[in-house]
Amino acid sequence: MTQAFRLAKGGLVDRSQTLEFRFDGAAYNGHGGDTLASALLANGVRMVGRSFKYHRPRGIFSAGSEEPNALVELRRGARQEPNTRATMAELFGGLDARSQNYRGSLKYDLLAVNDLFSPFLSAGFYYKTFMWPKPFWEKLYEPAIRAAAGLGRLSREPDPDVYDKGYLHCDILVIGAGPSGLSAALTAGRAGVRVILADEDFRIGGRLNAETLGVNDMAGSDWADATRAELASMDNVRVMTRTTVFGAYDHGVYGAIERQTDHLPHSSGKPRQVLWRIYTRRAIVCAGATERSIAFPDNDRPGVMLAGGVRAYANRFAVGTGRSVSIFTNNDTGWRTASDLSAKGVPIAAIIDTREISPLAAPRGAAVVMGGRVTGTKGRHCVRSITLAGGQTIECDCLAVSGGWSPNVHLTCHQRGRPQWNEDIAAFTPGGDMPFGMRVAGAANGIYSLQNCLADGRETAVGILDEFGLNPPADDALTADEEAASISAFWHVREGKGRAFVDLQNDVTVKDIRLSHQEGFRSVEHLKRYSTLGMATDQGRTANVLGLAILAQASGKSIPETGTTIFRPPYTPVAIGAIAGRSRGKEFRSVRKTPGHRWAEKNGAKFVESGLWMRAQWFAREGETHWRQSCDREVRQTRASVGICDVTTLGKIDIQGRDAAEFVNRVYSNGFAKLPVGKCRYGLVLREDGLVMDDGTTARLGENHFVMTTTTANAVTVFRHLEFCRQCLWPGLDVHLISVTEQWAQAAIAGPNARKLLEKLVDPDHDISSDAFPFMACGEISVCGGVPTRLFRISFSGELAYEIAVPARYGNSLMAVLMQAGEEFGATPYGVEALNVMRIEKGHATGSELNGQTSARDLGLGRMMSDRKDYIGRVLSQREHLVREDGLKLVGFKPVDTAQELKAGAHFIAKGKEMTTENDEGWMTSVAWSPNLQTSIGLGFIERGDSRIGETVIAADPLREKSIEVEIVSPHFIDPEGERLRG
Amino acid sequence: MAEFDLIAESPLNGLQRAFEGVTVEEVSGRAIVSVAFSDRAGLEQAVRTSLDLTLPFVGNTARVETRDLLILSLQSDQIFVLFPQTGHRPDLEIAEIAGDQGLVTDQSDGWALLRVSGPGSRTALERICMLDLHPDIFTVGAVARTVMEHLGVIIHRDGEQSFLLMSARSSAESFAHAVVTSVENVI
Repeated sequence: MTQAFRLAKGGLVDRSQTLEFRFDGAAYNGHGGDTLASALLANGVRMVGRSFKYHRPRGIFSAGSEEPNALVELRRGARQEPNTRATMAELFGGLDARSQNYRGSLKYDLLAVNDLFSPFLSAGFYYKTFMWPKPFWEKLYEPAIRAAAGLGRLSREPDPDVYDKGYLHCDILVIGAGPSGLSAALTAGRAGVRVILADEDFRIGGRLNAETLGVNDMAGSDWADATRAELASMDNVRVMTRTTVFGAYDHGVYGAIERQTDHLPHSSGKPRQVLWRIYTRRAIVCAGATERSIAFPDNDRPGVMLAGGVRAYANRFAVGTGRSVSIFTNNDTGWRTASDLSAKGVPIAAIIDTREISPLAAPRGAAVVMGGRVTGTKGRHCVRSITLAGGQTIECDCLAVSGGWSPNVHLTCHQRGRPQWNEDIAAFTPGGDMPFGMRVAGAANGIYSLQNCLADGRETAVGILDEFGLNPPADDALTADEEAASISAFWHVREGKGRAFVDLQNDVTVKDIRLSHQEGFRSVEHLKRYSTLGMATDQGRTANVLGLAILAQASGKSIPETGTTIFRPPYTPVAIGAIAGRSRGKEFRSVRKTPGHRWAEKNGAKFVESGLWMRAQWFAREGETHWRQSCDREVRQTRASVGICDVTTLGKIDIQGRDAAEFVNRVYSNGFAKLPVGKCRYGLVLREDGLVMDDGTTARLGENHFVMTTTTANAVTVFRHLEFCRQCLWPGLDVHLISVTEQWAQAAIAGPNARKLLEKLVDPDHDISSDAFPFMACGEISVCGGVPTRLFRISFSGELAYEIAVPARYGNSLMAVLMQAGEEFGATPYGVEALNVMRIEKGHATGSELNGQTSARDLGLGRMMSDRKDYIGRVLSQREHLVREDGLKLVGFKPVDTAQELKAGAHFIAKGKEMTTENDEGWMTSVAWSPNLQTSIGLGFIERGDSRIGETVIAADPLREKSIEVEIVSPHFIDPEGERLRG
Repeated sequence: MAEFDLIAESPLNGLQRAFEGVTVEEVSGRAIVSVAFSDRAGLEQAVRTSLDLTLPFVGNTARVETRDLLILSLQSDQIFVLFPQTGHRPDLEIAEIAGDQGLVTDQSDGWALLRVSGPGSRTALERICMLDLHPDIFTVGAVARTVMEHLGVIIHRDGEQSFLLMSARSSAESFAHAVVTSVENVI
């Protein structure tokens, strides 16, 4: 298709490059440097979508990121992306775009019937209309509304694109590469400071590309090109196009999204978008200003556009937006649209200015109506004529509207700064309380002439250089063409029939705003929620000021009294994928593997995630089809002979210093000061509130050297706690901490043959006989010909057991060597399932019991709370509730009917009582099938448990609909006297 | 010779990846010993005597070329010493130097070491490292503790275009993947 509306010459598009693209299935051509919007307009495509609520035909309204109407779906399949602004989509060969929000076809949308019901669809119509009958809401109304609501369609497939994030640093971040931004960046760059210049457009220059105004006797766009080249040549400057700075955060940190491959047919596996965190010393917001509309009846028809956008299409993209263009304006910039278009041969039908006195000369042939108002438009899918207040009708196929310009103050308000009203330009400008280090220059600061913008950019940069103690570079005096920019506020036309739209994206009309006010929504924040003014992708950038001006008029207040809504990040839409970055699927978090992981993998281990760790759950052998078979075998074999378990994941903390013993003694509730060198002791760490934080064994390797073990889950918490104690509570103690969790690979060797197995590895000069190395002994020995080893005779399983630690590099080999040495005993590796069974059989607590809500007394470890020393948690552990005699106690449970299976999480209720919260006596924390006892066994907390041994209660499990009778028993199911572990 | 031999393995199995302008390689064979101290002056004296070296301040490093020894000053009361691993007890080798002024802990097996080098290394690290690695800010010889992809990392600039990264052994595969992905995303 020919580009019938492409102007014969001019523009910044690359006419040598013709790009074919599709819109709603039809093929079109555009040029390099086009946006989808400019290419569609060049091809005469005026209607590009349907409105949100009323499904009214809508066309391209603007030429920038503020676009409320032209939202399209791009790409196909899983890469389909809805709600893309056609004005921001850079054209590439093969681009496939589709209009959205209709049933049937774009031109003949069945849901356009909504427009007929518009009197019923006013602000807050959901709340008023769907009140009754009540049951209809969930079953009928909501599904129907949801089916009709929303703009684009998601692919419903996972996003196949790659996203990344990154970190940048600079002295000055310049946000926006229009005239003030370029001027500021040039000054800062020449002074040698580190500058990042970011702009959301793919072409540097901002309005310089959209206007015909010159700088330094060059075309504005040529000057922008030259400046870009100079900046790009500086090592200290980074120019980032296609990059939107979307948020201003604490301490001079900014969020930015860089669209790296959206302008290409394929990403080629590279990140599509990169989310940058930019650390700055100073930032200069040069974000420019956004033109706003005037509300008048039927002002939403395709062909009604912002005048600045019309000018941008003509000057930058060489596109005439109509065969005959009229202008409706309240300020001088509208007149520039007329003169620019006329100079390019586009006929101007009329200029309608709300002001009384003509400020400028009109192009030849254009009717001028001063004090005029547009009261309506006509045309089915595109404007064909407009009607003025006097009844005059003017034929035109494009109406360029300018209601003035609103500085883009958003970033200045991201930390709750409030903008201030400036009557001279009828707009809000940045207030005083801006984020740390932020300055504003140019149009974003309410300075509208090109000459002043250039000067303001430079002066702002010079001011910052001065704060840095640096001299500014020589002023090369940028000069620009003069321009007129006066305005007289005019918000909406009262005459005429038809709806006057304020917010095109949300179909909010003047009437809706007045109605909201009438119904009591006086605050602008309430107005927003009730009417949806200023919501969705454009966040009301063309609508907000207009909307609150109308609210102000309705309430008889001034605009400053009415105020604005709070601006929050992000400034423009940011894809969730970009926020997630690489954190998807398996990369959501890192994985920790023990040194023996590879050995376990090769030997049939099934792994379970335990925090970040991967732990072997069980080791399946040939013929085993259920985990219980593997687990039962591992338990039986360990208790019968010997089993080996990788326990590297336990936290290990090296504690050294002259006061190490005192430190450990204060951290644990039980005594450690007198622990002999070469011995281990089980200890409890309490929190300040007296509840148990963690448990573990600590070994004294030397007079001033301890190694503490923690549970896997609490390794970091305990280390952090110890550092807090060391640095904040007792800075006077000479003690140093370092984690050695990663340094040592550790394995438990448990079972009657554990010693025999170990003796085969231990170097001859070490004696580990029971006499020389009794229960709870520890020592630094060597194995396998000199490999340094830490050996602890401790037992979690209740068997004769050791934990052996070797440097992690040998961890994988250690598992193989232990199995090799244990072959004659039929040694088995065992996983955390078997570990769990054996510790329940022995009555040992783990995370299910140490859940942050239980005390040492609850756990039956009250005797471990020393009364002969001070320790963390001592005072608060004596609170009345924690020392009551009828408190919870950890005990064992067995089903009365041994064919029944216990369930963790069941709550205990006395027999014959109702299953209510009031009757709840405790809960089951851990359960297991005991292959040794051939019954299901469990641990749990129950009131006065230790004095109720033998009693039966109900383990109620209403969620799983299973309640069974259980007997309260000792938590030590196996070897209560501990003979085995001392063997 | 013992009946059973333990075989040593490096955390990343000798990973080596070369890209255009960036190389990522595992550094192995280095002993790492932590030295904690309460009296900086005392340790300084000990180090001066045995190594003829001034103890660097936090964020800086020092080298003893003759012994291929690198000192990373990580916090006000702790340094790491890196040197070729020749024996089973590198901690005792450093204890000899520190005497009673330093508390040594062997960390040789706790860390995976990666060197990222080449002209594109800084650009690649921009994707995971939140520190400012500009050569005027993070100069050759600088060291810092930081976080990359939620993993604790020690980063040391050991050349104009070369960075030594240290991260925990257990998560080394995830860390290496993060580093390599960063390179792949920018080349």
